[in-house]
Amino acid sequence: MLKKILIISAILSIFIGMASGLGITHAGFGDVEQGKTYDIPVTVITSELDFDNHFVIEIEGELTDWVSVIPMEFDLPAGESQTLVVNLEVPENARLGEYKGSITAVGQQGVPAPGETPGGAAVGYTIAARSLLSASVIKPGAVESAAVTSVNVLGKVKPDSVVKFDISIKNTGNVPAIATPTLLVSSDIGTTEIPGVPVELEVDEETTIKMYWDALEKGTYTAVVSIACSGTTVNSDPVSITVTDSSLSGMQAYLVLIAILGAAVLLRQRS
Amino acid sequence: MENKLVIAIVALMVVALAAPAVMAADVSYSASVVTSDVIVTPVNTAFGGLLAGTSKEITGSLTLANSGGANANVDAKFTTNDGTTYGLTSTSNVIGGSNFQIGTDGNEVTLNDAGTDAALGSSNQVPASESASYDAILDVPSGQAPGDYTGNVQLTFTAVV
Repeated sequence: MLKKILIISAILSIFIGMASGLGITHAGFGDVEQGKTYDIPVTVITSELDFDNHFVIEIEGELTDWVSVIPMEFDLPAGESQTLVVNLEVPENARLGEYKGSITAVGQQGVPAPGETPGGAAVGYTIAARSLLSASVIKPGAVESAAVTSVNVLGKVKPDSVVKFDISIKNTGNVPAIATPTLLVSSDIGTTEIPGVPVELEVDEETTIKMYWDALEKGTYTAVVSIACSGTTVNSDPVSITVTDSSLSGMQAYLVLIAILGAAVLLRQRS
Repeated sequence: MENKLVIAIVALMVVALAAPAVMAADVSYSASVVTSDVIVTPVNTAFGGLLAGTSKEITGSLTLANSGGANANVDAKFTTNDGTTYGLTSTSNVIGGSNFQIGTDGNEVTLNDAGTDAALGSSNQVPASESASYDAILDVPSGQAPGDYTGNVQLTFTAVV
């Protein structure tokens, strides 16, 4: 089958006189450590059916700031290959996790060459080959964790109001971490789950975020903030919220009632 | 009987002496790193003269032959532009890339005016050791100014691993 393809391509190239071919290997760095440097060779392959070309390297993706390639541009005669060295420099404060990117060898020579087509609309083609890059930043002995240090919210609110939660989250590990909060509000009827935006935290950093819950129905609710970090979930202490029309809490209402009754008794005795 | 016993003991000693050598034999591993290697052969890339408001399809505009060991994903984008819109350009006019489609018969994908990669998708992959024939379609918008329009499409190949 491959022979047939090459024969067909060769015959076509004889008649047309233009062909281009390109391939490139991928670069998987695997596990890499913070503050270290790694090199991987990547090979750009051309076909003998190709023409001489000049290639320029483009770097894209999450690894762009950490990756350099030598050389960044090069001439490549048809049928030859070029080895590139992809250098990865992992910052000391790099967040642990998976990173992806790519380097692309972009051919500068197009086919058909300008002026080779007759008048009217015409399209030419250039070729490029993309090498996928991947790296997993690890740290031996790393602890990636976060905790909720406080949850501040009104204990009593009116129905149909929006309840604001001030939630403090702290990085309790020894590497930068991403904490994803979820607000869980429960009652006898069920639990409402409100997802929050992931928070990036440096080591020892503590930040306060705001989350909101629509208090629609009267009742007594329990709120818990759950934090997911590096596959582990931790919960805050539960907070009680009462949704009621009354501006007084149950205890306050009893005290007021007793005071009124006492006042009434006093007035009656005097009269 | 004694002879047999001696022979058996000697045989055992030979085996015992030979065994470590056999167990210590090196085992060689080899691996080939595969990638795609796509040869692009333009067969016909000239749409010629078209009237505004009409379209033209070039069947079998490109032949792509993958001599590599991995399937190749293909992305395509226009690299020519008039400063704002990517596509086929004339002296001061442009036919945006969103008027151009490329791909195998029935799976043609529309490119964009932004000059960013359009993924041609799995139906336009070039399988390892096989070839694919791409059609090209150009729609000329109504009211497009007359002129000779030319453009360049960058085809980017990524080995599927």
